[in-house]
Amino acid sequence: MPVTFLHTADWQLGKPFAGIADPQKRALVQQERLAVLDRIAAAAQESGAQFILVAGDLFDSPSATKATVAAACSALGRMAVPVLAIPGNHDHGGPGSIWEQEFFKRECAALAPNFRILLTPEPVELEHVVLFPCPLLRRAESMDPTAWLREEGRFAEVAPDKARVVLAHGSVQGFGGSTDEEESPVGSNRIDLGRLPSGSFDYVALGDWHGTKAIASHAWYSGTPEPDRFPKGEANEPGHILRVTVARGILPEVERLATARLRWQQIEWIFTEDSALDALRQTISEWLGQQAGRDLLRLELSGSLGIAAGVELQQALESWDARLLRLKLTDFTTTAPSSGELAALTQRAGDPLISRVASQLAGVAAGAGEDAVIARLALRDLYALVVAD
Amino acid sequence: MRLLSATVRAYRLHQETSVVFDPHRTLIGGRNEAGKSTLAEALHRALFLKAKGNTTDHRAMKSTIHPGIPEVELSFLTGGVVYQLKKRFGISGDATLTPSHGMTLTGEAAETELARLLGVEAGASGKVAVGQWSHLWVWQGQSGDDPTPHATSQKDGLLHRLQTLGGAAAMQSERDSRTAAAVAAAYEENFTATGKVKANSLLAQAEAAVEAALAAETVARSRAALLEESVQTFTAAGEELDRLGRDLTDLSAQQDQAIRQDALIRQRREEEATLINADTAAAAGLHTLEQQETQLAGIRQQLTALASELAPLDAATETLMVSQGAARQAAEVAVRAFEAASDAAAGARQQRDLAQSWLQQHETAVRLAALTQRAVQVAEHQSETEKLQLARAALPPVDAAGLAVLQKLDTQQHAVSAALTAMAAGLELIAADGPVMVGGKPLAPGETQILTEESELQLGTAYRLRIRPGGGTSLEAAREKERQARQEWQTALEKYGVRSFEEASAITARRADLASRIMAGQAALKSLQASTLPASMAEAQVAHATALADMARRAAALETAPVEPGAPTAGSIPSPETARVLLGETVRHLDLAESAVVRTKTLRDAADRTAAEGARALLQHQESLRDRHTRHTGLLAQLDLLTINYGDDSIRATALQQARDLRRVAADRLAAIRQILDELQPEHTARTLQRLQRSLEELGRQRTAAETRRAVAADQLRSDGSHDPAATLALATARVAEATENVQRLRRQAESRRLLHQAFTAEQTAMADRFTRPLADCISGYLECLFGPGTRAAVVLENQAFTGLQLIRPGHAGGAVSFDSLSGGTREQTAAAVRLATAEVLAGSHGGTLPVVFDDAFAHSDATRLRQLQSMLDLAASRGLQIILLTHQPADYAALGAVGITLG
Repeated sequence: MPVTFLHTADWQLGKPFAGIADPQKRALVQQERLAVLDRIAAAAQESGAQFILVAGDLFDSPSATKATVAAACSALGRMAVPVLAIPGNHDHGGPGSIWEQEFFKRECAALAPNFRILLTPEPVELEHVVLFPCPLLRRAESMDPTAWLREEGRFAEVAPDKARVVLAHGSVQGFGGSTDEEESPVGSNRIDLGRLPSGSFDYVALGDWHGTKAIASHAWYSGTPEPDRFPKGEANEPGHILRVTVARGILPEVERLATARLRWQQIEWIFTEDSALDALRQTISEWLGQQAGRDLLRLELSGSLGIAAGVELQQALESWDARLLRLKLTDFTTTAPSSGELAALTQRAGDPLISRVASQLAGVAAGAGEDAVIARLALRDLYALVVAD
Repeated sequence: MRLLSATVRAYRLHQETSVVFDPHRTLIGGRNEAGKSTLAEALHRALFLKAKGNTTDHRAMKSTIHPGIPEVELSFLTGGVVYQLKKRFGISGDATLTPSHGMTLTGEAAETELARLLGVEAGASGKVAVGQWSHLWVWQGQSGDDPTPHATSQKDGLLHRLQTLGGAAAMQSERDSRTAAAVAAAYEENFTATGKVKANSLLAQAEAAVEAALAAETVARSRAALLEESVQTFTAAGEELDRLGRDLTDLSAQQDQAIRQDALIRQRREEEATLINADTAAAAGLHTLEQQETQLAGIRQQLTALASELAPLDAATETLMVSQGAARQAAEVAVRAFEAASDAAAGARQQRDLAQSWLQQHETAVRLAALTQRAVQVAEHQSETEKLQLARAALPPVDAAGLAVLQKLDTQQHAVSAALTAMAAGLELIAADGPVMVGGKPLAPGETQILTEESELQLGTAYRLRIRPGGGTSLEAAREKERQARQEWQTALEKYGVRSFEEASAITARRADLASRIMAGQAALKSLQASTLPASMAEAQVAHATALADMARRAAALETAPVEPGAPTAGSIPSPETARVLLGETVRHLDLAESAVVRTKTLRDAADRTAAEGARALLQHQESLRDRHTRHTGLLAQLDLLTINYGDDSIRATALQQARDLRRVAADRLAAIRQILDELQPEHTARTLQRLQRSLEELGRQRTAAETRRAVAADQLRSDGSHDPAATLALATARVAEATENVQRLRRQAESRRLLHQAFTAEQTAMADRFTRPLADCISGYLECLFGPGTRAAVVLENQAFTGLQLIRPGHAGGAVSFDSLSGGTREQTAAAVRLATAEVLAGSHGGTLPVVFDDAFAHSDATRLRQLQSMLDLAASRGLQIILLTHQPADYAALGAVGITLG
C-alpha cells in the first residue's frame, strides 16, 4: 500500500555561523534554521505525509546547547506527525552525544513525543513501511554504514508487503564531489549503494549533501531545507524537502518542495574601468532590491579602479555590508590613480611639495608587491587630502 | 648702506671723537680703554636707539668726565643718497636726519625715516633696539656665540633674498604645508616620535585584539580537544572493557579446571600421608631391633678390648713400685748432706760476728775518749766567760748611749749657766767695816758673788740695799733654764749611777772591754760544739755500751758452738789490728760454708722431685688399672641384663626378619602413590593456580581502571548545555580571522601613512636644503679662506628658523662637527664667516653693501689664523661689504690693507 512521507536532512540546528561578525545578524541566520521547521510542518500537513524522515545532522554539533535542544524539540512537537531521524556526522551517536544527554531526553519526552532517534542498525517496522536506519555512531565512520543491509535475503521475512526505506547519511560512492562541504574527512562515511541487493529496498533517503540531488530513481539527497552556505555551483540546489510516495516493489514518486527563505548569492566581478563600478551597483541593486536582513552575498572583486572610484567602491561596500546579513568580500581590486588623478597630484606648479611627493609615490605604486600596494594606499590618502583641501 | 663718517661727543670717555670710514676696510686701533667699543656702540645706538628716552642705555651714555649731552653725528650712504644723522640722547633728546638732497627731518619723523632706511621696525627701544642688526655688530666677548639666532632674527629679509637668489621654486606652498601637517598628524595617530606603534592607537588596539582573540581561540580549542579526548577515552575504555571481559571469562574457565586438578592432587596427598605413616612405623620397629643388636655387639666388643688391656698393665705396676723405693732413699741421703753444710755455715757466721763485735767495741771506745777531752775544754771556757759576765754586771748601768746623753746634758748646763752669769750682777766685797750680808748670807771681803736675782744687801744694820741684776724678765728665764739644766743633769747622774761625766766615761770603756772578752769565750765554745757535746757524749756512751754487750753476747754464743782450728774464741779481746785480721779470715770461711749449703740444697731438691714424680706415676697407674677392672665388671653385668630383656640370639633374629619384610611392603605402596602424584604435576598445578589468580587480579585492576576512565570520560561528556564547544571554537576562530584581517588592513593603512609622512619629510628637507643653498654656499666661500678648499657649512631652515650649524672639513675624521663642539678660536672664526655671509646675502636689499663691525672679535685666534682671517675679511670687502675692525693690536691686521685710525 503506497505511503507518503517527507524526506529531509541536514537541519544543522545550532550552527554558529561564525563567519558573520555581527551578533544580531548571526542570531537572525541561526533563527532561520529553526523557522524553516515550521514550514516543514506545514508542508507535512499540506502533502498528507504520514511521517517525516530526517536523514542525519538534525543538530550541527553533538554538544548542542540546551537552548538549541529545547527549540528543536518544540519545533519537532509542532510537526504533528511522527518524526524519525538518524544521527549524522555532525550529531553522531557516539559517546557523549546529544542523544544520550539527560536534558535532551527530558525535553524530547515533554515537547516532542512524536520524535524518535534511531541509534541502532536494525529494521523498524511502521504501519505501512519498514525503515532500515544506518546511523552514524562516530563523526568519521570508516565502514560503510549500509553494510549491514548487503546480505541477500536477510530481511525476506520482515513484513514482505511493506515498502522498505533505507535511511542513511554520508557520501555516495560514484557521486563526484559528493562529500559534505568542508568538514567531513576524506574517505569517511562512504555509502556504496551499488552493493545493496537489487530490488531489496524501495527508497534510500540520504543526508549529508546540502543540495537536493537524485542519485538514482529511488535514491535521493533531500538537501538542507534552509541553505547554510554559499552555493558551490549551479547544480547545487539547497532549500528543499522531498515529498516521497513509496510502495513495495514500485518506483517511488518524489517531489521537491521549496522551503528556503534566506538567499545566499555569489557574485564575481572584474573592474576593467571605473564605470564598471556603476554596473556592479546596478546588478546588486536589482538582486537585492529594497530588502535588508534577508540575504547573504559572497562578492569576489578584482581588476583596477581609480582613486575616486575606489573611494566610491568602499562607500558602496559599506552600504551593502549594512544591508546584507553577510557580505563575504574577497577584494583583489587594485586602487590606483587614474591618469587624470595622477596628473592632479603630480602637476601642481603651485604646490611643489605635494607634486614631488606624489611623483615619488607614483613611481613606487607602478611596481609590484607589497611596497606598491602601500604606495597606492598612500597616493589614495594624499588624493583624499588634496581633494578635501 | 655704508657708513661714511661719525662724530661722538660727550659720550662716556669720548669728549669729541671723529672718524672717517673707508668704503671697504677701516681698521680702528687704540690702546685698551681708548674708547673703541664705546665708538662701536655709539654708531649702533645712533642708528637704532631712539634719541629721546631715559632708559638704562640712555643713562649709560652719559660721560662722567665730559660735560654735555651725549651726541652722535653719523653720515651714511644708502640708496644712492648721503644722509646726515644727528642724535642727542636723553630725556630731552632729539634726532635730525638730513638727506643730501631733501628736507631735514627731526624728531619722530627722523626716527621713522631712519628705521625705514635701515629696514627695521620704527620706534623700537630697549632690548629690541639694542638687538637690531646684531648680525652685523660683533660685540667684544660675543664673537664665539652661535650666529644662527642672529640670522633667524633677519629671517624675513634673508628669506626674501634667498627667494630672489633662485629659491622661489623650492618654496612650499601653504597647501603644501597644510597637507604636510595633515599627513604628519595622520602618521602620529599611529606612531610615536621614534617610529614605534603608539599605545592605544587603533593599530595597537587591533594588535591587542588579535592577541586576545588568539588567546580565546586557544582556550576554546583546548576545551574542544578535551571533549574529543574524552570521546576517545570513553571509546577506548569501552573497547578495553570488552576485551577484559573476554579475557576474564577465559581465565575463569582455566581457573576452574586448575581447581579441579588441585582437588584431585589433595586427595592423593592424603593417601600419601597415610602410607607415609605406615612406612614410618615399620621403619621405626626395624630400627629398634637393629639398635638392640648393635648395642649387644658393642658391649661384647668392649669386653674383649678391656681383657686385652689389663694383662700388660698389671706387669707395669711392679716395675713402678721398685723405682719409687730407690728414689726415696736417694732423697734421704741428700737431706742429710744439706743439714751438715747448714750447721758448718752457722758456726762460720758466729765467728765472723764475734770478730766484727771486737772491732765495733774498739771504735766506740776511741770516739768516747775524744768526746771526754773536748768536754774538759768546754768547761774551762764556760767558767771564764761567766766570770767576765759577772764583772760586767757589777758596773753602773751606763753605756755608750748613756754617755752621749750625759755629754749632751753637761754641755747644755754649762751653756745655760754661762748665759745666766752674763746677765747677773757681780758683787765683790773689797773691804767692809761691818758685816755685809747678801741675801741674808754674809759676804766676806775679797769674796765675789754673782747675783742672778733680786737680793738684799745689808751693810751693817744701818744700810739695807736692794740690788736688782739687769736683764729684766730675761734674767728670770735664764735662771729658770739654768735650774732646769742642773736638775736634768742631776737626774741623769742618778739614773746612770755615776757622779761625773768622767766617771761615766771610764765605766763605759771598761764595759766595752768586758764585752769583747765575753764574745771571744763564746766563739771558742761554739768552735768546740759545746751545745751538741752532751748529746754526742751520751750517744757515744750508748754505742760503746752496746758494742760491749754485743761482743759479750757473741762470745757467749761461740762458747756453745764448735770452733774451727785458729778461729776466734771468747777467751780474750784481741787488739784492733788482730781483730781486723780475724774478721777477714772468718768472712772467707763463711763464704765457703754458704757455697756448700747451696750445692747440697740443690741436690736435695732434685732427689725430692724424683721421688715425688715416681710416687705420682705409680698412683696414676694404679687408678687406671682400677677403672678398667670396674668397667669390665659393669659390662659383664649389662650384657647379662640385655640378654634377659631382648631374648636370646635366635629369638632376636626371627623378630628382625619380620620387621624387615613389613618395612619393604610399606615402601612399595608409598612409591606407587607418589608416582601417581608426579603424573598429576602438583607443582605445575599450584603455579598455574597462582598464575591464574595473579592474572585475574591484574585483569580485575585493569577493569576497575578502565571503568574509572570511562566514568571520568562520561562525566566530561555529560554536557551542562550552557555552550557548544564546537560552536565556541568556530566563533573564536572566526574572531581571530576577523581581528587578523583588521590588523592587516590597519597595518597597511599605517604603513601607507608612514610612507606618505616619510616622503613629505624627506622632500621638505630636500627643498629646505635647496632653499638655503645660496646662504650655505656663501658661508662656504668664507670658510674656505680659513680652513682651505672643500670646507663647507651646513645650516638647516626648520620651522622658520635657521638651526643646526655644522662645519664640514674635508680630511677631518668625524665628518660634520656641530658649532657647539668647535674650539673657541674656530667658533669665533666660523661665526664671523656666517655673519659675513648673512650680511652679503642681505646686502642686496641695502644697495649692495652693509657695514660689518668687529670689535676685538678674534681674541682666541692665533697668528696663522689671523692671516687667514684677513683674507676672509678682504674677500668680504671685495664682495661689497664695509668691514670696520676695532682692535687694540692693529699691527695684527697689517695685511688687511685697511685705512687705519687710531683712537686716544
